[in-house]
This record gives sequence, structure tokens and C-alpha cells, in this order.
Amino acid sequence: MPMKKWEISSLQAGWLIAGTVALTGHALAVTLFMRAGGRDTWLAGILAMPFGALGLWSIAKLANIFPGKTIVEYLPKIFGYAGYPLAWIYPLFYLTTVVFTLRMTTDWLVDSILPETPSWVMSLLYMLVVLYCTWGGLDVLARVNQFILPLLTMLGLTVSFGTIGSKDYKLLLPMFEFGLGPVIAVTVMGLGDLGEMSVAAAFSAYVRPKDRPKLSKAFLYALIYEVITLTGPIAGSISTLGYRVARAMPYPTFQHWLMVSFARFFERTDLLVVHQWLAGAYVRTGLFLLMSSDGFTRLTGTRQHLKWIMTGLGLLAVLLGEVAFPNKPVFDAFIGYVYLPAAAILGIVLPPVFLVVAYLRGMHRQNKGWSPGA
Amino acid sequence: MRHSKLVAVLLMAFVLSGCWSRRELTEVSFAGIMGIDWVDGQYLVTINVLSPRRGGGGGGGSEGVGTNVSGVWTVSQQAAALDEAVGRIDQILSRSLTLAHVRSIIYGEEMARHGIGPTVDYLLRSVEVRPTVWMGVTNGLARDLMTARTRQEGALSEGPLGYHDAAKRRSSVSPSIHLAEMANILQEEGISLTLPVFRLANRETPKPDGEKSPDPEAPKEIIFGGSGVFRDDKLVAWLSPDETMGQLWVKGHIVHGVISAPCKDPDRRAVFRLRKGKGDVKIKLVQGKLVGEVHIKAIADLNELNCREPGLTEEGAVGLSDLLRKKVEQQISAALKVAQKNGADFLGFGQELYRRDPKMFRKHQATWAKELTTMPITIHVDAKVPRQGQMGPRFHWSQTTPPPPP
Amino acid sequence: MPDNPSLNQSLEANKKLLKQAFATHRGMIFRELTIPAPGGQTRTALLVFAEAETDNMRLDTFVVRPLLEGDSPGYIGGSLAPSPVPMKKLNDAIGFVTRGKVLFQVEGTTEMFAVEVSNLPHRQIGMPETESGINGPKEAFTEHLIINLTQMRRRLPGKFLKIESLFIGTEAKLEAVIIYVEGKPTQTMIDTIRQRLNKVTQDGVQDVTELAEAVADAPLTLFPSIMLSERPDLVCHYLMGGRIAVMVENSPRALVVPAVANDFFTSSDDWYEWRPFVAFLRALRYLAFLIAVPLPALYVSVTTYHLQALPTQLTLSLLAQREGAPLPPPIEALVMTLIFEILREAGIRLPRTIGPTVSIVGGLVIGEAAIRSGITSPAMVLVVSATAVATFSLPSTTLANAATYTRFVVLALASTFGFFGLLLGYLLVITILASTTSLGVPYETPFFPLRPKFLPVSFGVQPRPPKSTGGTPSPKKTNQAEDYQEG
Repeated sequence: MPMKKWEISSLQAGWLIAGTVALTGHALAVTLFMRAGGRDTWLAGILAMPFGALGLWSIAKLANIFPGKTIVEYLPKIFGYAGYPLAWIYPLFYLTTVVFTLRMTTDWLVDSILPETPSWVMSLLYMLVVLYCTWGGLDVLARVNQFILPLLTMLGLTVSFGTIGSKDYKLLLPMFEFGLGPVIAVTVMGLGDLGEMSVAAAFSAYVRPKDRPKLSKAFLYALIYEVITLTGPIAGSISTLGYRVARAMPYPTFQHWLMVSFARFFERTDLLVVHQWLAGAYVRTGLFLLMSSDGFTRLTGTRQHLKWIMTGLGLLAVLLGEVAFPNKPVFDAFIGYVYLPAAAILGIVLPPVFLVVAYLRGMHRQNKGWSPGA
Repeated sequence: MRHSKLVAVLLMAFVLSGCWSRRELTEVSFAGIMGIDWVDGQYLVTINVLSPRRGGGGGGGSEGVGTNVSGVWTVSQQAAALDEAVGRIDQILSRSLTLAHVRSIIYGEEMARHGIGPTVDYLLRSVEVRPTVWMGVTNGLARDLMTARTRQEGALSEGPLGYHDAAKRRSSVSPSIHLAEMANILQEEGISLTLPVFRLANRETPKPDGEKSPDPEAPKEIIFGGSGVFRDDKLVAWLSPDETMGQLWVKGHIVHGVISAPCKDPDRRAVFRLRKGKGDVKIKLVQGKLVGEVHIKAIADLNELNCREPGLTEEGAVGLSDLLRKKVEQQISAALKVAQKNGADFLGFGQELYRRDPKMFRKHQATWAKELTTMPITIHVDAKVPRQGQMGPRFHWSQTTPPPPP
Repeated sequence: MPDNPSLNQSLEANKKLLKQAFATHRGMIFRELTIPAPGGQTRTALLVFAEAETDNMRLDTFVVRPLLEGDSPGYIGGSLAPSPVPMKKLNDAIGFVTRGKVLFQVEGTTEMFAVEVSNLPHRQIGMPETESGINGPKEAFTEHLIINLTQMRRRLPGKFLKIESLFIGTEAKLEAVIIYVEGKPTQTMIDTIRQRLNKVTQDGVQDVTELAEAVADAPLTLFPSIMLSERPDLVCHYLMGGRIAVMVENSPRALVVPAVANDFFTSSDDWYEWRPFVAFLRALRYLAFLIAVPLPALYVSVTTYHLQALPTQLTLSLLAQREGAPLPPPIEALVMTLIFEILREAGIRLPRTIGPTVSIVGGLVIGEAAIRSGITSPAMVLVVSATAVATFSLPSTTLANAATYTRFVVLALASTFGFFGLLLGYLLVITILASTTSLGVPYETPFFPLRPKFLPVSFGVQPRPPKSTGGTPSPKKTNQAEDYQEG
């Protein structure tokens, strides 16, 4: 079935960015962040923000220069044949994100909630539900996100207020104890986190024409939200648990949730954490899977088989998540040394380069007459 | 089309299901309190298993329905590692043990003196033990405390938690610290741990001559108050409730509670109910030497007054707040004395230095316990008594002396 | 003989055709009159009508007498009160006659006419039964389309109420009408409805609900995407809000599209109550839905998988209740929920006077007995009955059915995977909601996609969307592209 119903608004685009990328920094890779940054980890988001803004702004600009074209289509336009290898990297990266998210989610589920359930079963089921959503197209995903994100945010705020009694912000002191080294290291990881926003380069093609000029504004709001969600939970878990305990824990933000207690009776918040994690990972997995299969089908000209390719890639991600990493340290090393730097390069370093090259080659002028919405 | 897919997804879910991780309510015993002792070089773990039936009024069958009066059953096992001991307890119980509902963990004295650090790893690593479990220490074996028959029904199943809540709400006789906090303090620079103390009453009181020795089977009382002071992870001293209060003032953890200040006449008292307490530790470098400062803000209401000195309650008079100030100063200096004597920096001077100037702290870190003993520390208390209850001046009851002039 | 021969023939030929067509029709009367013709001559006129469906008085007054008196020189129909409709095709004529019209043709002409003289028995306007309310008008639709349309016109007088008529079906064509208020729904929405109705090939549509599948964007949606109402006043409210109503002959209800989720949380009284209270009720109903769907699943997953998630005292209390219960919680929940559904079904089947009694007494007795015999725990009975009450408080029965259906799925998922399953169910429901559309309008419209101007309506604070919004969230204004035809 051809998918025509993929159109989304700029608001939804911004929400998609906000809803998908936040999870890496404060849940999936938070231990890696803490190991790199120690007590100053919470600065990562704030320090990485200007760079993230540059990357996102470039992506929004590029979307306006090449209206209706995803990144895999305009890269060859900018660089000629040299653009094709680059164009292949992006969908591959998105697929990696899916694998990463699935693996972390099932790992956490087994570690914290369902110790005896085989992870592949959960991974597969979760992927099937994600696939059910992505079969509906980008607009369905965007609407799901519009429902999930406010709820996530509200519950997140509830936690930040619920733990206020056990928070001691003095635990964030002293800052820069070990100089700027850890801060720079964790800022680079923060860049990796924000760099996942390169997914916007793929889906901004589906923003409806009249909203395209508003993209950069929507992305800016998403970035601010993103930085808040990166900073808040990390600062929160450091100030409740202390950074050494937080760093030693694989899921400090989860433990941070367990500190919540409302009126002595409602002090078991496990269900809420499951909601936060699974709902957050849902849209994220869906979006990256959708964009990955979208990219691959556009590159290979097999868009009529999109659904099947999507299903295949999803199941491949499940398989890779189960077998690609033998144990946690290997996985952590992959995320820390390969995935996050790659994300930083693909999402923050390269888009401005693309933009500059596109400008130098005068491509922004070619579309002058093609005003959005015309 | 879409629906067939939905059905496929759902079918898959049920086909794949093996109902893993299932643990039914009735297949589980719930631990309420966990005691950890160090006996013969091994861990002695004691667990209070909560049971809903006991104390429910002797009903079987359907009469047991709806009973939620807790009874407890205590099981102890000894092993070289905590989890091993817990596993042995699990073998004794007919239902599988879960630690998910443990509300308090109490260390025996020997355990505490031996060092509690190694126990923390298991407690933090376990999925079941929550980071919000309340921690405590007892003088003697934790097992004795937990097997003691007390007059309060099911005192130790819910009891210590109740005590902890009481500590927060009513009196400030003991610090309340949960697992995550404890773990953090054990790792944090320049601060020592203190844990709240539970004691069995009459355990160590010598018997006066001629009196009958107390019946060992008689119900005992668990008394809650004071704290145990740790250096690193080892118990080194006990703080009396008064000294504990001094510590709580400094940490700013004192919120509620009653404080009794002596008047000029040492037999008489002015008693205050605390309204607000704020504490601050400062450390300064004066002429190359580190000098500590303690700043306290105390606001309390007058609850009882039987001092004889006149003018205490008059407007603008500072007599009452002076009494309060002196008492607070005395409590703090008593706590300080214990800290300096044992080199246990539970007031957090080192932490303060570390937060201000980590490099300087690193220089002093190795010798900090020693430096603390000689460090000059000044105490500044700002005490206020804004309210005096339903009475103005002291109630004058004498028939022989004339009342003070209006 | 062609399938549908023309009636533009001589009287004899037509008579033969009709005789043939009505060969097996009981009570079909062919009557020939001799009527005056211009120039003092006479000629024959043929009347064909059905005995039972025709009002003899009207036939006499409006057709027979004018014809006999011959005061319509040359041409016949001129003075007939209900104006005659020329009949071109045999099948149309048959349809007209069977609805109580009379056909007539005058010798020498090749045109046959139909005149409305019907006397069809029908129900009088009654009280609404399924949507009864305390406030507001008390009229309901009947099975008579004309009467229904009268009720609508009376409520929305003036030229802006548009009623389009079309016939659906292939053989037994029935009249359907598309009703809307001029300028409120977009033209594409109206066109879509018309196209979809024209595609209906089903003969003998007995109720407008049978058209629901044809009108909906996708057949078999889990959540209802089409509203049904038996109250003309409510339909008028919806029309004023930019919706489109579809009615069909012989059906006492109107079908209203587009419908968004919030509409199913709206009860008929909401239009006439004090606004702040409506908002409160609306919130209650949303809460009821949130209880009705996941509560048993939540209970099962907590008591079977996540024992750490309950407060200690509650755990002990539940443990005491469950001591000795023979069934594991998932099965217990399933059995209890099924028993409840059976009770409900039993209540519906029984006469209205004893139905509720059976439900209540059955529920009480069975629940009490089940607890006493130790088969189930009081907490489970509490959970199931809370779920039941919450389901009943939903104003729309279709929504309640969807909630019941969803509840079983979520319960099954939670029984096998605990919170993980519960969350999978939740995500599935959200996804289904997000992918449902009604006439191209996303189902959860004011919430996602977010349309802030409609939020006060959804929360019940305002009765209707502000005028500037054009009344209803239209496909153009939301993110849905205009390709909703593909369904």
C-alpha cells in the first residue's frame, strides 16, 4: 500500500525530536555519561546545547533548501556521487539506534522488572508493537508521540517534585574537581546525545510545506526541552543518590524514581518507571526504524515494499540486539566509543558542513522561486 | 488488513508467553525487617517474615479474610556472605522469600564495629531491596532485638518504620538515614556516617541489690534514640539523644521536637517546642590554620516554664531565647566533643572544605581525623522564641509570696 | 425484455408491463376510469395502486375526482394537489407503488405519473429511550423519514439546513438523506459521504447502522468512529458544530460523522447542564474509562508479577484474602470478568423491569457466595465490580463495548507479562487511537494532533467550538492529507 499519509506539522516535528532523543542521555546511556563526567555530568546538556542548536538549525535550513527531500536524497545532490556513501551511513545509523534502544530496554527490563523472562521475547514483542505503529506511517507515530510526550513530561515533573525532600543540591559541589577534562569528555557525549537529532534530517521532508519555514523554531524548542530533560534527571539523581552511588548504578535514574514517596502510601513507583521507559522508547524506536527503512527504500528505489522492509529491519534489530553484543562491557564500549561519537559527527558536525557546501554550490538559489506552500 | 496484523501481534504475545517471572502473592514470604550481625567471622542474617494471619484472632478458613494485623516470624541464618545467608533462610521458609518489602535494616553492634562497608554492595545490587530502606544500628545483636517480645503488638514489623516517621515528625532524637544516603555518605569525602540506634530496654542496667532480677521472659521495650558514630564504615562511638540533637542542629535536619533548657536554678526548666532549625557549617583559613564555624538558626515556641527568674516572658526580653541558645550551644559542643575525640567528622567540616576547595581538602585528607581533634571551632546560635502558648508570664501559684506587680 | 424497461409507452403496453411485474403481488389494484376528454369525448385512464398502502380518501380527492371531473383539459396533473412525478422506468414505478403512491396514465399519452396518496402506518413521535436525559427536548426520531426531517427543519428553520437525497441499494432502493448546515463542513467531506453512500449496494437496508461500515473510514475500528443519535435536538447541535448527518428510511436514528473520541464521552444532558458541572462530569467519564480498561490487568500484574509495587500493609491484607484461593489471579480475573459480562448480558435480555434486578442481585449473590466459598477474594470482586460500574458510567454503549473488548486484551497481556504486558497493551491502544480517523479527521483530535481552540469543547467548558474555527476540526486543518478516501 503506498503511504501518502505521512505529512506532519512543524509542531509535531518538534515534539518528535523532543520525545525521541531525550531518552539516551538520561536513561539509556546515563551510566556512560556519569562515568565520563562524574559529578559534573549534568553540565553536558547545557554545554552541548549551542552545538546542538547549530546542527539542528543546519538541518532545518537544509530541509528548506531541498523541500520534500530527505537527507539520503539531498546528499547526492550536494556532493554528487561522493554523497552516496554518506547517504548510506544515515539509515544505518538510525538502525543502530534502534538496536541500541531495544537492547538497553530489554536489559533494563530483565535487570529490574522481569528477571526471568527471556529478553528476546520481550524484545520481539516490543518490536511487533512498534511495527504495528510504524505500519501506520509517520503521522500516526507523530500523534502517538503527542499523546505520550506530555504524559512523560508530567510524570517526570512529578518525580522531580516528589523527590525534592530527599534532594541535596550541595551534592553537586564541588564543580570541576578534576578540571575541565571530564566536563569536556561528557560534553562530547552530550553532543552524541543531541547528535541523534540527525533523524530530523530524514523526517523533516515530511513536514507539510507551509510549516517548513517554522521548522527551525520548532527544533529550537525541542532542543531546549531536550537539554532540560538531559540536565534535570541527571542532576536529580546525583543530588539524591550522590554521584558515586549514581555512577556505580547501571540505572541511576530508575533508582532515583524509587526514592519518590507520596504520603507514605504511594511509594512504589515501579509501574510509572516502566511507563516512562517503555513509552519513551516506543516513539524513539518507531521513529528511528521508520526513518531507517525510509532511507534504505529511497536509496534502493524499493519504496513500494516499504512495509516489508520495515518489518525485516525491525526483526533484524531484534536479532542484532540479542546477539551482537556478548556482554554489557562490550555493549557499553560500543556505545561510548562508536555510537555516541558517530552520532555527534552525523548530527552536529556534518549538517553545518552540508549546509555550507550547499550554499557554496548555490543550491539555495535554485529553489528560490519554489516558495514553500506554493 | 491492519486488524489482521493487530491480531497477529496479539497472538504472537500469547504464543510466546511462558509466564516467566511469575510469583504469586501466596507463594511468597515477605521480609519486613532485616538484621545483620557479625558472629564468628560470619554474617548472621535475621529476617522478620511478615504474616497476615498471626494475631488475626485465631480464625482459619474464610474468617481469616480481611485480616491485616501483622504477626511476625523471625528466622536467622549464618553464612560467609549476605546473599548466602538469605538463601539459607529461603530454604527454611515454605514460601520463597522476597526482600522487596523490607522497611528497615538493622546492624548489630559487632557488625557495625567490624565494618558495614562490605554489606552495602549486596543491598544496592539487589533488585528487591529498595534504596529507601531505613538503616539503623543496635547495641548488641540485631537478632536479639528482633526476637525480643515487646508489649507493642508486632512492634518490629512496622515498628522501626514508625519510629523513623516519629523521628521525622515529632522528636528529633535520632538521624533518619536510608540506604542510598548511607551508601553515599560512606563514599563521600569529609563526612562520617551516623546511624540511628535501637536499644532493648533494661538490657545492660545493673540490678540494684535486694531487688528482684527482672524476669527474662517479661516483655521488653525497644527504645529509639541517639545515634551510632562511624569512622569510615566502623562504629566508634555512641551519641546520647542530647548529643544527637547537637548533630542534627548542625546538619539542619532538626525540624520538630522538644528541647528542655535549664534555668539558673539547675532543677528548673524552660521547655521549648521546636518550630524551625537551620544549620550551616563553615570552614575558613585563618593565618594558615583551618578554623571551623557552626551557624545555627533556631526558632522554638515556649511549651513549659518553671524558672524563677523574673522577666523571662516579657516583650523584648531576651531571657528565653538566651536559655534556648545556651542549650543548643551546649548540645552542639557535646556532639563536637565526640566528633573530635573519635576523629569522626559527622558534622561535615571536611565535606564543607571539600566542596569549597577540593584541592586543599586533598592535601589534608589523609590526616583529617587527626586535624579535626585540634581544629578550633566556634559555635554561633541565633535563637528566637516568637510564641509563648496560651500563657503570658509564668503561672504564679504561691500563697505566701505576693504576685509580681502588674 | 430489458432489465428495466422504459415506461414511455402507450397505456396498453405499460399496463401489460405492470401486470407482469405485479403478477405475484397481493393487493395490487389496476383500475380503469373513463374520463372526459377535450371535445366532449371520453378516454380511459389507468390507475395502479397498492390496496393497503394507499389512503382511499386521498386517492379519491386528489386523483380520481379531478380526473373524472375533467377540469384539467389536455393535460392531467395540473390540478392535482400533490404534484405528480413522471415515471420513466419500470423499477422506479414499482418502488413508488409499493410505497403507497398511485400511478396513472391517460390513454393517448406516453407518460405515466405517480402521485403521493400513501397511508403508511408508522409510529408516532415518542420519547428518546437510549439517550433519555433530564433536560432538553423530549422528542425522538421515528421510523418515518419525512417526519424525522420535519423535526429537523423545525429545529433549524431557514435556508441553511441542507438536505440531499439519494437512493441506496440496487433493487430495493431506499431513500437516504445527507443533512448538513451550509458552509460548515468542507465540500470534500460532503462529497466523500455522498460517494461512499452511492457505493452501497446492499438491498433492504433496515437501519442506518447498516451504513456505518460504508460511511466509516475503515471498517471494524475498535473504537467507534461514528455517532448515532435518536434525538433530533442533539443531531441539530452536531450539525451546527459542522458535522454531517445521514438518515435513511425506516430508521429511527441518525448517523453523525465525523466523530472524535471526545464525542463518546459526551452525554445528551451535557448540552443543557450548567457548564462547570459538565466539565466535571466529562472528567469523571474519562476517569471511568481509565478505570474500566486497565484495572483488572493492573491488579493481576501487581499480585502476580510485581509484588514490590504495593504498599506493605495492602500487600499483607491482599495476602490474607488470597490465602487458600484456588485460582491464580489471572484466571480468577478472567472468570470473574466473564461472569460479570454474562450477568450484564442476562440483564439486557430480560424484560426491563427485572433486568437490573437480575444484574444487581446476581452480582451481589454470586459475589458474596464466591467470597464465602473461598473461590475468589474480596479484592478481586471489588476490582471487577469497580470496573463494571466504571463501564456503565460511559455514556456511549459502543464505547463501553470497546472498553470491554480492550479490557480482555490488556488483561491477557498483563497476565502473561506483568507491567510489561500492561504497557504493551497501553501502547497498542494509543496506537489504535492515533491511527483511527473519522471522515479524515484524526480520532483524538483536539488532544493529538493538538488543536488548542477545541480543547474547551472537549473539556466540556464550552458547548461549541468558537465560530472562527469553522465549527469542526476538518481534515484540511489537521495534519491529515486529503486522501482519506482510501480508507
